[in-house]
Amino acid sequence: MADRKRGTNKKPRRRLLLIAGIIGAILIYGLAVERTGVSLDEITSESRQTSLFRIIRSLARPELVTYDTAEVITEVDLFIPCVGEPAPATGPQLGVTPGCGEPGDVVTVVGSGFEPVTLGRLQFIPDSEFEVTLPLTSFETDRDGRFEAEITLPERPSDNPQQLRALVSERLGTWADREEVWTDLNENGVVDLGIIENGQFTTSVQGVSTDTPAVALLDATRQVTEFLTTGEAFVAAEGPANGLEALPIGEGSGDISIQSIEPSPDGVSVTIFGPDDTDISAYRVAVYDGASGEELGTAVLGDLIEMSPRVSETAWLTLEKIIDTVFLALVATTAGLIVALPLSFIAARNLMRDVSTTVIGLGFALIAIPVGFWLGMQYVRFQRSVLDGTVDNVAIQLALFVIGGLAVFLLIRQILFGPEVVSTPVRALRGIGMVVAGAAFLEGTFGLLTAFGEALHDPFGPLGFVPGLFSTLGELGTVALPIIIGLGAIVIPVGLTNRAAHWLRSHLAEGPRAVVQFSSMALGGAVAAAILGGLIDWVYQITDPVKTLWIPAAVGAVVGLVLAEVGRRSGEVKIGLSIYYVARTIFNTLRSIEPLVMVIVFVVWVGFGEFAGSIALAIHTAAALAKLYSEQVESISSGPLEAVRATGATRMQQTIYAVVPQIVPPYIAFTMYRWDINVRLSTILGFAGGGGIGFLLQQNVQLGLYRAASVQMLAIVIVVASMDYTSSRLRERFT
Amino acid sequence: MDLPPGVTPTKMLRVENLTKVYDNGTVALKDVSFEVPAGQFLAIIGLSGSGKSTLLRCINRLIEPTEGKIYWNDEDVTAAGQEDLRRIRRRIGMVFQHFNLVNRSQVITNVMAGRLGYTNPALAMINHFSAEDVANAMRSLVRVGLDEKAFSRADELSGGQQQRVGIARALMQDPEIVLADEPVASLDPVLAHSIMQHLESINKDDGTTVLCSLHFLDLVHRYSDRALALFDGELVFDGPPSGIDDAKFKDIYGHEAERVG
Repeated sequence: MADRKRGTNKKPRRRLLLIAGIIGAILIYGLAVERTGVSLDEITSESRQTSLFRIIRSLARPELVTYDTAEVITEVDLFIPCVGEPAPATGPQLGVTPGCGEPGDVVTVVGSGFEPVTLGRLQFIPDSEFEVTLPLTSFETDRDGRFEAEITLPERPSDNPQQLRALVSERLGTWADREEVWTDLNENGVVDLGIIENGQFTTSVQGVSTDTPAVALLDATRQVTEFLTTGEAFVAAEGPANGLEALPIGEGSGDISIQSIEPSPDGVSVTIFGPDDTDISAYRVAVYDGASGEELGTAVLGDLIEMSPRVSETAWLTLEKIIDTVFLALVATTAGLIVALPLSFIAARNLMRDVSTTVIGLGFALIAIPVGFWLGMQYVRFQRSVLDGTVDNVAIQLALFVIGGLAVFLLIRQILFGPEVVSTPVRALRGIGMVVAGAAFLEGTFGLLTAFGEALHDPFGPLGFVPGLFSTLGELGTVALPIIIGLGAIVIPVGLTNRAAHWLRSHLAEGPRAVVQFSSMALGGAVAAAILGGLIDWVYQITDPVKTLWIPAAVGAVVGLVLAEVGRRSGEVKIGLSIYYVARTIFNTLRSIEPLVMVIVFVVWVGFGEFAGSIALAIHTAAALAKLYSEQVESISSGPLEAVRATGATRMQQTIYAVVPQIVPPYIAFTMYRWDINVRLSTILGFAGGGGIGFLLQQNVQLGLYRAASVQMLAIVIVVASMDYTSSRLRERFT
Repeated sequence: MDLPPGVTPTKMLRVENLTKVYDNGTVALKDVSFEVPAGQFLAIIGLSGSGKSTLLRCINRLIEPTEGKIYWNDEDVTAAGQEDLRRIRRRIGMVFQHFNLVNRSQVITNVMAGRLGYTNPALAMINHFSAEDVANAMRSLVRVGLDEKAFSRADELSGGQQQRVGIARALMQDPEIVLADEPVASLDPVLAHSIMQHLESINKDDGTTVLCSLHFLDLVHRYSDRALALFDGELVFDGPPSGIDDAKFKDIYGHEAERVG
């Protein structure tokens, strides 16, 4: 009975819930559809569909090839008003119904026999003694080469037949039979190759008239190489030779030089001599009036001669940009990888779980870390002030490199092969020695890298990017040196205070030990929090020491005291897990910011282009890889790690011998995977100014050049697909 | 070592009132005390979960004891700092049930890992071992009969071979104690004897103390000088293997247990 009662009670409630759920779902989806603007009207609208089909058709025909075109002219007689019959036409046919009319009448133009699916224009040729054309309208032929258009007859009555003209473009040449197309750049009506033959090259500049012409010769970079006149010497006050003095002809010199300048009825003829087969097609001549000093005209020496069809400009540009894009992804992946590798170990729970430190040691370290870092940075500053401007001297750099390097080598040998147990002062001295020698050695090394890279850049010619890499690395190192030495210098005070902490912990009675624990943690917490406060001050510009220094310091001290109380009994703090959580939080935060957003910040910092894109991508990569890597570290089998730990190996040795061999294959797999992702991401970074092919794509889409945009999309598809394929094949090999 | 002058350290392992409570509240060891003189072959028996592995791992502090003291040669293992612990661990070899080799590394690299406690940490970073260590590793492999497999990958070896590599790794430590945690539980009986004979040789020929947890009583009888039995974390038997009569057996393995070996 009780069961049945419960059953009957439950059923309607369930049903109610179900109904409420359905109503709720309808409400939510209804709202969602409205908010997203889903509209069938838009989808079925004819004008929208026409635009859509046009874009799809453009996208389907990537502009990989450029054809030059010639215009095909088709004409038909038209009587305004009606006084005759149109003559029959040949070839592509135009028909006008009716074939005559009054001005303002609307007549229908029908064309047939044209190139299928081609754009064309209609023009009206009025009866006139001048060559006049009046544009009417444009049309597009259908698949059968037909079109139909309505035109309004213009206000041009005449007794004679007038013409209606249809213009369509026809492609020149085929791949099997390419055609040469000449563009008369200098408008002299002659094909100019711009190549010196028989020791000379003559060009004529049309449309200038002067009795005493002067000519300035400009090279391909538009620098004036020579300025000669047939009259008296003068100083030009305008044009490309502005401010230069024209010398009487005959005093020219140089490999490529003006030989003669001759006025002719319709222009000036200039002869240039030079070695045979020299291409001077990009050179220009500027003609001046030798009497008035006025600039009359400029002409390029060579004309443009191209083949049709040819690979389009867009295709070449796209190729160049897609290569940049792949390199961008490579640089970002490599930089991210270098950062992520060491970080992945401190973000692995299984390695960090039992990393602990004494309470006193933690308190001391919180003070020692910033002190060590600051001292290291100060030392580099001191070293640079001693060298005072001679840092750029190669001899000084060489000396630093050799002496510093030798000292570093000897110290490392001492540390590696010297006695295992050394006293604290010896240890501290070694550390200081390493910092001093290391600072000198690195300063020298980076300086030399920069100097040699720069010196070798030009001699290496097209391979100049190899020394270029070294000089870039050298410059980076020079900038980063204070930070490198600062980080290195942290080891000394931390090591010293750690030893002191250990000694205090095992030699102090419980009472005094608690005092030291609490006071060191309070001080350490205060220092750490004050530094944090300084950072906050820098971001928010509060500049109120009470808020940015004293309050954080007090809060930090209290947190330190609480931590000290937590670890009072065991005397230890599980610092490892805290580091783990902080690292993971930072990675997750950075990972959640899309590189496309990050790029906006870096564009402001380093300007538009691939550099900004690669920094943004590198940061995202570092965070993402560090997380993926550290999850791999967490999934290793713990047995070997336990076994190596049992042999008395240090934490570092355990990592190298038991962890690293286990994670090599997944690390390689994830790096490949990330490089694949980065190629994909870098294709769109350009949308936010991050360089690469995305920039080109966005530009073309905004200009409505869908056929050009289609080339970039095609390139992206090819690269991403082949990258995906290669990376999955390589990943298979490594797992 | 804070000993009064004139007192030579006793070669002995001393466990005093050892208790281990895991973070989840499980009491793995309850107030366990015993002494092991140098050179003894000590078997530790008990049901699965009785605390054998925890006891062995507390001795080299792979597991931190909750309470109690462990002294080795009168040095307090439980109070040792990081560097002292490293020096203590490197003289305590350990052999595991699942061998715990780094599968993707070569056999010789696995053996060499036994020397890490003696190598400068900075040197080991660049995978450098002294020629002497390499020669020693080869000698250890010869001793366990695996010198021909030195350059094979560890996971290419059979179970018995992998355990011999594990023993060679422990030998590299030049150990004064070997802790063997169920070294033959994953192997068939024939291989089990071969592995036990290697441990016996380490004990008898080198004079190394061996603490070995075992499942099979016949192995206990055959190889050990003395047996400890744990039941639910408590020490229920401490004496010669021959002292385990039927009554003791039921104390150790529970009253439903049947004697098979």
